[in-house]
Amino acid sequence: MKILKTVLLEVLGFFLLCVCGSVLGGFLFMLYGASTSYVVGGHLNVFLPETFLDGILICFPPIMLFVPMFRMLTLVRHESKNKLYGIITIAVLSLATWIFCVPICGKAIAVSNALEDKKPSELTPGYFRKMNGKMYYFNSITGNYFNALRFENDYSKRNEQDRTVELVKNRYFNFKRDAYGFSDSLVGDYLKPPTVVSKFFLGLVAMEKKTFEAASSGFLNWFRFSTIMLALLASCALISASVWRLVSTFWILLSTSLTIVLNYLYTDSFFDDLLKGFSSRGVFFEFVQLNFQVLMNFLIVIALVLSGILCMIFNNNHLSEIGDFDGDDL
Amino acid sequence: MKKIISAFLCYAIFASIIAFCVGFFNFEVAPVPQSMEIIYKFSNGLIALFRTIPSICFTGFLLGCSIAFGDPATKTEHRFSPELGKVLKKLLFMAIAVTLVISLCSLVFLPYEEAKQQSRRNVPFILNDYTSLTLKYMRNKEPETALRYVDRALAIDPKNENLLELKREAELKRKEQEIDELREKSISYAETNLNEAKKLPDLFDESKMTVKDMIAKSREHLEANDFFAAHYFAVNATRLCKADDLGEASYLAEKAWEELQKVQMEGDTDGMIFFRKKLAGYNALINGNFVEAYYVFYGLSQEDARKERDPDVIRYLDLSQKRLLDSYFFIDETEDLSTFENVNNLYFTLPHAQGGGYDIILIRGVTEIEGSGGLVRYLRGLQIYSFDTSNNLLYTVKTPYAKMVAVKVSDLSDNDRRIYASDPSTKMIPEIKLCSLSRSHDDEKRLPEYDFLKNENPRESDKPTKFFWPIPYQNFTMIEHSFAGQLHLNPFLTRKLSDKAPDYGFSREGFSFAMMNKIFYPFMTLVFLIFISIIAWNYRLAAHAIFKFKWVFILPLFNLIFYFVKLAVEYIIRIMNFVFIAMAGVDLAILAGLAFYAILLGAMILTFLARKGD
Repeated sequence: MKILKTVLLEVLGFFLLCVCGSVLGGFLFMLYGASTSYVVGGHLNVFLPETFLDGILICFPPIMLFVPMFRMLTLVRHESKNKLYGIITIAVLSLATWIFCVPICGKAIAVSNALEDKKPSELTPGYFRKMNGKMYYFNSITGNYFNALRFENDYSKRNEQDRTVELVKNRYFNFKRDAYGFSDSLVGDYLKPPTVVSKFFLGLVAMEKKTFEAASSGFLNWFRFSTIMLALLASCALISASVWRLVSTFWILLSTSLTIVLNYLYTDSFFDDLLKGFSSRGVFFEFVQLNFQVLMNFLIVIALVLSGILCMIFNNNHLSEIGDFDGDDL
Repeated sequence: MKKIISAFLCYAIFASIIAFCVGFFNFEVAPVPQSMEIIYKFSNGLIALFRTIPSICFTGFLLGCSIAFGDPATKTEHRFSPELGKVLKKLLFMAIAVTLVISLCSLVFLPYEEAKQQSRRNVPFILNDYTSLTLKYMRNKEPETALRYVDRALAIDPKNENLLELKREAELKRKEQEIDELREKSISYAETNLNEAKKLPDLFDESKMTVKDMIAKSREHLEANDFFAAHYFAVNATRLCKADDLGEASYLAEKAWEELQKVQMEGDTDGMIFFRKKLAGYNALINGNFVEAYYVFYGLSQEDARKERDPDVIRYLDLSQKRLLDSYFFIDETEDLSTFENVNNLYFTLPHAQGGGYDIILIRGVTEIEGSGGLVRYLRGLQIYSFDTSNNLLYTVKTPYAKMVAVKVSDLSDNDRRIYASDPSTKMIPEIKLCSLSRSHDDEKRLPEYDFLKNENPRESDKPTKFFWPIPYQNFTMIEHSFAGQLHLNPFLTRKLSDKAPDYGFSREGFSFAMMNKIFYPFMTLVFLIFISIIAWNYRLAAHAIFKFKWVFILPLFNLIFYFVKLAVEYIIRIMNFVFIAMAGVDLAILAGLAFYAILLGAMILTFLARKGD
């Protein structure tokens, strides 16, 4: 009965985490989408069901990368005696969801236009905006045609007396979204993400693209790529790494981050230089080159499991030295 | 509680020292004079500290709570226990104190220190400018001005040998010049009647005089054969008086004028030529031609020492200068100003006060005059592009320098007040003077260049040399500050400006957004701290377990995680703030924000209270 309870709780926790995480991600994606389409002084359409659904589909795979970590963190703090069944449940659910649901997500996104470059919204006149290194005051805008006062705003020329000012009349301009997808450069100025945050999200987006590519390029490739989930699940070996639960969370956070970073580096061709000459060195090296991601993830699994076992032995010895501690953390 | 505070302080102090040292000893070569190097590095250390203080505090809080919660966890058997309530009460006090520290560091000290550091980076350029100006004035034999600049440079870099040498040189030259001047003066005084030279005449200021006072003054001066003064007061009295006094004032004016005409007829002596020149200047002054009057009296004052001390010359030079400065300013006021500008490349729009349409205003540089209380500014490279309601360009105007003076709305005429300051809360508006004149040469002027495009024969009234801008002076200074990257901290003023922002060509959302981010920063921090205390409870150190030193090494990673998570959460909150503002306007957005944080804080508190012990 206790086992069944643990399994059911884990199933519930797993699905709640997946659903809540994806819904929250979809909601934030919708807000971001709304702000990228917004132009100052215009009307904001926030509640767009299509964008929300796209957001859920886009956020689901990255969330799946972190779900095992969050479930392991829950196991760290609960003193359940059935941790093994909990881990098995999480592993089965994570692997199954990753292998079967992520490719479906990829196909659904390919059908929708979530990742396509969207047309920018029409700008509003009456504001100063910076475009192509020059400042514009838009007197009027009709579609792609505008009247404006254009002037240079180069700080290095601050000592010059007059500015080069030009009256632009009925000029065609191909308004584009900026690097972060904002229609209005003014909104882009306000909402440009900090470099660290943008690098993190761009990294996730790049990895997601590689994930979908792997999912659509045959079962073997998808199997190789999916070994990342095994490596992520291997952090379960560290749930009892220390007497202090915070230290155990530290190891789980660290192992998950490292696994994701290493896999990201592999998908980003970081190891290509290292693997370049492998195919000419014989069958073994060719095999290593072909299955590098699989080997790397298996190495991570072995390293984490060994660390977990060592920690457990060390902690047990330590506790037996201390004496009568009931060992609820182990 | 003691455990939390001691663990928190231990980590916070230790990590703060490290953060400070990383900033202090970074590899950047300090781009400042040697005497400022330590201050520069110290400031670098402070900036590094202020940037990392939120994540340091979060980590310290996690550490403190995680260690301290071991004991209460043994007494907390079920959810929502009174024991946990007590813990929460103390925890909230501490969280609020930490929030205060983080908010002060992030919202006040960090921007302040960054601005200071930026100005320190400009010091070498400023020193260079001061040195060039000192050398320039030394070459121009103006050691007094040269000393002023070298003193300013020494105030920044007091131990600079070159500057000290320059100062010694300038002092020497000033002493030499003083001796020369004394020698010249003694000769000049010998030629002049000493008593006359010592006695300075009363300067006229009729602004506080009544008509009766003016008539009395006029009569007094007439009796003393001072016909200029008699005529001056009588004419001013006729301009202001009612029918009762008009007869007497007119009589006195005519009488004084007759006497002046009589004197003028008497011969062609040097004295008479001087008198006629004074009369010509006086005539120009009375007829409102202040520029001509100023140059006549200024010319007379420069002819010789006796004329310089002539009471009429002194009085009417003073009066004509005062009247002239109502509409113009002197070119020498703007000398060397471009070096010390507060803001560069400013731009904004202003709706026309009357008849619709708007102006686009571009300014190359703004200099606030020290000691003017921010009420006088010089605008370099002012360009105005005026459009009608159909967006057709009406005219453009350019001037190398304009002077901006804050004028009290209460001093404006009723008509001007109605046109330029219709909002009763406006206290001051800017007055812009476009023309500048030489102090000594009537042929050197800087006049605005008007271009009326299709209209080849504009009226003179279409080309004003001074005008008011229909913008509260405070709003202009806030726009200026926003260009300097220092948004006003007062949320009420920012709120007020945000409503007007579209009139000035800026987005309402921009100002409101910056304000909301600042207002809600402490709330976000507080929620974050309570969330951390929940994590700390969940992953606490057991009551009987002993803290091992090696665990300290996990803290930098938590610090890093908190640094990143805080940035990410802050960014998400920024997007939410922006969407709220764009969707519902700033007032509703603030209310929604308050409700959001109240709910979030409530949920966090409930979650904390729902914890149970071992």
